[in-house]
Amino acid sequence: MDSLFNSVCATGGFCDTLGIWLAALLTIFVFSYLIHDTILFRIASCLLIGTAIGFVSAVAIRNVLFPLAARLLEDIFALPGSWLVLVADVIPLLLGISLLMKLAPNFRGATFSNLGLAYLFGIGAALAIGGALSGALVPQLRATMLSLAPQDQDLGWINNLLIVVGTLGAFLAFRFIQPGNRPWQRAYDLITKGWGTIGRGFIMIAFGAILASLIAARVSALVGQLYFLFHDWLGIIR
Amino acid sequence: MQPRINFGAILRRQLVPVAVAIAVGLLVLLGEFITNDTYADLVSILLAWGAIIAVFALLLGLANVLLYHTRRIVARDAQMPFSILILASAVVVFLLVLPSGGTGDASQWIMRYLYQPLEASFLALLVFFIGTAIYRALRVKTWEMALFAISAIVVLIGSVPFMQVVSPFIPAAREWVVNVPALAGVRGILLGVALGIIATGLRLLTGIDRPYSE
Repeated sequence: MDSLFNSVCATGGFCDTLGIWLAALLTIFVFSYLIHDTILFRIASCLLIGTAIGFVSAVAIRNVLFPLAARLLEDIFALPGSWLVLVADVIPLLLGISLLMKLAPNFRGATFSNLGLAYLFGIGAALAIGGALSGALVPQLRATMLSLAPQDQDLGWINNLLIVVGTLGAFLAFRFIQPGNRPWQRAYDLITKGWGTIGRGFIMIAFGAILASLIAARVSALVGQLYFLFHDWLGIIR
Repeated sequence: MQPRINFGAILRRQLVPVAVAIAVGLLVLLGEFITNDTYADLVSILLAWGAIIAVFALLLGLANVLLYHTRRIVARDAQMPFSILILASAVVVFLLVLPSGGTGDASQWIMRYLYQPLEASFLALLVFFIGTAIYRALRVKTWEMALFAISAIVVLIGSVPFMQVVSPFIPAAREWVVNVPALAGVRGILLGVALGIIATGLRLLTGIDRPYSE
């Protein structure tokens, strides 16, 4: 298929010109949504879905399943010396096939079809815990351990104080516990609620900053697409 | 009469998948704390198996989408033309990309002239929706929304390159908002998210939650 594509595109610039026209038309199709939910927009949506499905499935099969099949053939030809390697290559294949059994609703081997899913959940949970510990919890806690002692003329400690108060406040903003009846429990609840309210303010500032960054990125994408239309396609901008 | 309990079925349907999930999960999790070459090899084999099974899971999802649209075509649904378009584009792209696995000329052409323009256009379209969302959000007059709006405006204006010429105070204010109060807010959320992930993961690894078994 690739050689067929190369033979068609061998003639100078035909495929590039075709590609620019296709990309420009698709861009206009998507922007047509600003007028109304048009059929052109839906065509563009369907093409995006179809392209993504085709691309991802082809890359996954070509880069993971083809090498696995080649390895299995090698293992089979090298038997009996390679039985352990063969078993190691067959197990994920069987677990993967067990997942595909979910496509057959009348299949009477629920245990078998759940095994692959259970494996994925187990490994996913372990990786998530490890990632949350080493990638978020510990580094963020260490980064929050800041000096609050004033040093000479440097006012950095005020920023440090704001970071510590804001981090703990934002954390406490998600505390939904019914307080007990004892006075110290009510006092504790009052303090944490108040601190959580301050934290909500810090969260809103964070959301505002995130939204602004998001807008900047999207505007950059819009400018890029408009530049493509007026420069690459129409040639109005030089 | 007491209902008969089928212990064999319970064992097969519940215990075997739970045992697989717990065993694999704990082995991989211990790999985070144990530094031993043999054990690291074992964990890398388990992870490689997980990658292969994840590909099958991905294919299962994609096959489900294709089956859904095939059923719509067979049933001659009103949305049938769109389903045909999805299936046709998926098949054509699949056949063009499969021989090279995403690195060939055909794959690059599809990426450059089909996928990227569509993706970039959809992202660009979001500018307008974010704009209307901000307008609606600002109509809610609370102190939280005031902070939200001030923060968004300061960061947005401070990001404009020529603001340094207008006043050096504006980019400095942006830097301060991003590096102090916004950082604190995000850090608090991240700590909560991390604790939530750990709690959910531990529930899975102890068999309290069993989303994989019927």
